[in-house]
Amino acid sequence: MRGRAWGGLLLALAIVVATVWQFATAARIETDLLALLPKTERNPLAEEAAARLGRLSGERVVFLIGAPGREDARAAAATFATSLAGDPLLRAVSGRIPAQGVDHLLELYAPFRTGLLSEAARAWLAAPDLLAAHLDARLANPFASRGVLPLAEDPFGFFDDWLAGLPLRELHLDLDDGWLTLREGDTWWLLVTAELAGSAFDPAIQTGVLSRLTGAEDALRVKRPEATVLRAGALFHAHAARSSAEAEVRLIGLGSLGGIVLLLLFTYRSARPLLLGLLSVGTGLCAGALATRLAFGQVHLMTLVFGASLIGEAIDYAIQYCSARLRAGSGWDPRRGLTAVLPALRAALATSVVGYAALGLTPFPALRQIAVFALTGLVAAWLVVVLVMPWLLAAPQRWTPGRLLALCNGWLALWRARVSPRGFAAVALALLAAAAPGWLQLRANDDVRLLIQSPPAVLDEENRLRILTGLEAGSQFFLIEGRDAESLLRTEEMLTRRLAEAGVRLQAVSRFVPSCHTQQADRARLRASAAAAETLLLDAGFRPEPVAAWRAALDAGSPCLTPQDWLASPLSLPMRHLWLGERGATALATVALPGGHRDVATLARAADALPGVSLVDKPGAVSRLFGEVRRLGAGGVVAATLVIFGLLAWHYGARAATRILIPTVLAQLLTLGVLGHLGTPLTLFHVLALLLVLGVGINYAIFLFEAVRDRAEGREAAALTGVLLSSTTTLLAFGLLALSSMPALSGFGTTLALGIALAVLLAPAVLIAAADPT
Amino acid sequence: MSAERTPPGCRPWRGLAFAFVAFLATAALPPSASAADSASAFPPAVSARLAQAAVVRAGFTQIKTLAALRRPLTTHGELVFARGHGVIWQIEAPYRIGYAITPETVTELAPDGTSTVRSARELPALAQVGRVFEALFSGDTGALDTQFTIAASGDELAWRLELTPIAPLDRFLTRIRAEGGAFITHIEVEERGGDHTRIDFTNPQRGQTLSPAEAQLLGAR
Repeated sequence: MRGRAWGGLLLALAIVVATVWQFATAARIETDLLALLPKTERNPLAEEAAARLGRLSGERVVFLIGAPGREDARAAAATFATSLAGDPLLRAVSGRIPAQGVDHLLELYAPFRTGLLSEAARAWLAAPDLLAAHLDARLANPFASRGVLPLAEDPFGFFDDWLAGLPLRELHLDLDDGWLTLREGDTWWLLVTAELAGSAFDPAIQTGVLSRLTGAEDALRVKRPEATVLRAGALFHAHAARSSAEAEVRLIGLGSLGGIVLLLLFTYRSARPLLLGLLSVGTGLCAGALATRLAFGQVHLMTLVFGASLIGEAIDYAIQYCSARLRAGSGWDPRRGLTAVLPALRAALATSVVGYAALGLTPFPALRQIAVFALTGLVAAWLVVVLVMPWLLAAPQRWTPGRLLALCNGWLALWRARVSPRGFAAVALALLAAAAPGWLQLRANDDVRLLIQSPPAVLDEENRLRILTGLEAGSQFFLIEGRDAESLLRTEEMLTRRLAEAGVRLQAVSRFVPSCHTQQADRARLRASAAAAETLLLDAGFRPEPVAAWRAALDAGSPCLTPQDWLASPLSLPMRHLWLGERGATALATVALPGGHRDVATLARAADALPGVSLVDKPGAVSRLFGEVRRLGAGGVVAATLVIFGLLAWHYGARAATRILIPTVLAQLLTLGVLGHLGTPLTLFHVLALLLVLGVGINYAIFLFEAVRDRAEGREAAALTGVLLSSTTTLLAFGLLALSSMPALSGFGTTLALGIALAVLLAPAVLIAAADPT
Repeated sequence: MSAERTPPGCRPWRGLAFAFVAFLATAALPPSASAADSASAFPPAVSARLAQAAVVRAGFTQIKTLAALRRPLTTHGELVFARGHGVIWQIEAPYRIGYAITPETVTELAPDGTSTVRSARELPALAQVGRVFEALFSGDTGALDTQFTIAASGDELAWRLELTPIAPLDRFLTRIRAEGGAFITHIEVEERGGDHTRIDFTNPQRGQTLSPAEAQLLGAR
């Protein structure tokens, strides 16, 4: 026994040391919320594209600097941009942009202009009258007689019209002397952007960049108190998530620890049970973190928040051991005590393992991490209790918490004296009747925002910026795959047309580079009308030389503009994410982003039956998965109840098994009723919490049932004391978890706290079973 | 420093060719509702007088001298300016064609009476014209600050404004001049490449209301 105890102690210490070393030497705590989302796409390319788009927007921070008056706003934006420039954590800061775009545009497109026609130009060419009227209108225009090209080179303005159709102007921003500017009433807003030197989820980047930003904003406030800064970017969400999660880990962790310390001190009045309890819990938490790190490469902050609340459950084993020591009084023998308490401890561990293993079977990385953390943590805490405690806590308990025992005895006596099986049945039925209307009000919610919810302040600021600028944060996109660039572009064009009919704009490579097929068709169209067009120009008063030159350029023709040309131009830089490029030897792929109003059904209809096109709707897919797992989980609760019933029936007999299960099942049903009455939508996380209520609630029933079966003097009260202590610590931890800002964790905590409280209150119902002479 | 680092000028955020955007897309900016607070280059008396009229009607003669054309192109017509709503530019001779230009839309009026409504974003150049007109006719150049530097001279009886375009507009435009007294008498536009447009206004009438048909064209109720 001594050897095993030494081994256990050394193992515990090794785990603690290894964990501290692992987490102190490098930041291995993940806050990227995308990392929590399960893989939903069957096509790995779609997952890759989604990740790439996410990364792209993740590494960018956007600011709008506003001030009343153009000059003030420009001075403010310049001050702000200057104070950010040169920071090693920011790769590039752009404020004022030199105007070179027109040259690039001419360089890229002008040589191919005879193959580039807008929809309107095609209509003009189809009807000679329309073309004549268009030319008259163009020449008679007040002011403008030329476009990007001189009138002689583009007499009908086809090139201008085509350029005007490029999806460049879907922003509300205007270039004013190099600054991207927009005006809102009296306020002038100027855009400044910065690119992070790394991931927005890297804590070093977060703290470094944020302190730099705060510095820049403070400096601006001193220099120009009238200026306002709006900011948007994944960085701010990630930082908010990290800070609130860290605050929650502290609150829940310290809250449960503090509660445990006070309760153990109050109950046992001795340092040893407390220290050993903390050793068990500490080893458990370290083992959980270490196992998660080894299994997943990193630990997500959400797992840590949950892990902090696991303290309340991990302490249960130590408490059960101590309460066995308490009831043995002066006759305590650690070896016999352990033997006596071991069946209950085993049953308790087994039910928890069943519950958490079920979590691990879900396809969510977040829940799998939590499951691995919890399983390892609980097993390690359990082993410390079983191996180390009997050796280090060998002396009998001297202090008897008389008042507490008396209270428990009183509560049990009350149940015995007042609650007959029939009476209990009546009370249970009444409670169920009260809960029933709540069940009918239960609604489901599978929104992906259960996992991801940023503070309103961050969201408001970002929304304001998006509304002002017209920028969009798209989460749905199309993935287009094809054998070669030409077939890709043609598919995109078909998709663009279909979407246009539904009033949805599409940002796609083909809007910058039409397919060769389209370019050739347009050039043919133009050539077919060339003679008539020439006459029109001459009749309108054009000199013969420019007309001849125009005709010569058209007849000379040109090869097609290709995606390679576009990719080689700096114009494509901000749009290169649309081009996924070669996938394997024979396939190419692009993504296309729908803009404006996005109705997933409309988008799906547009992609329907287009070969190689798939709509990737990550939030939608995650929500559907949430829904699926929620329904699966509800089935799982029923199945687990049946399995546990089978195990209990095999061990204790069917009748006893029923009695043990009744308080827990009742607690679950009542919890559902309360949630319904409160109008809380039922989510996947509520269902998973119910699964754990099953595990924990049955533990309590088993502890009490074992004590009653023993019929030893004072044992029931001592067992109830243990259950009360366990449930208090558990309630404390999960109650604190209910305060989490993460809707998933908060729903989880609320359900657990509610369910466990009810399970404990109803647990003495097993006494009725035991007292039953049968 | 990564090898992929591009010069800041090539790194405009999400948009492309911003200079081009500015040239074609000035209409994308919703015109300010409270332009009155901005500085106007007009003599105050002129501003005040122009500001009084909600509606101005005038005849116009436009002479375009274009390098590619054999002879100048002259058009005559009528213009209706409704403060805050837009401009109707109706050419009567040598052919009938009209435009109703509002901050959001440009309606083309064909000789046969049919009309085509297009968004200002599709016809940015015309929408830009609407903004210049709005500024000149309402006596408030504040809204043009982003595209031009404005110099004023003269007095309220004979004033002259010179609008010099700021980059990137200066690639295409050399200068816009406007002259007037009690009212604008003419506007001259000089483009790069030698093209030149002169518009003379005749018989200006101040009014307060639009006809129902005009109101409908300009979307004013």
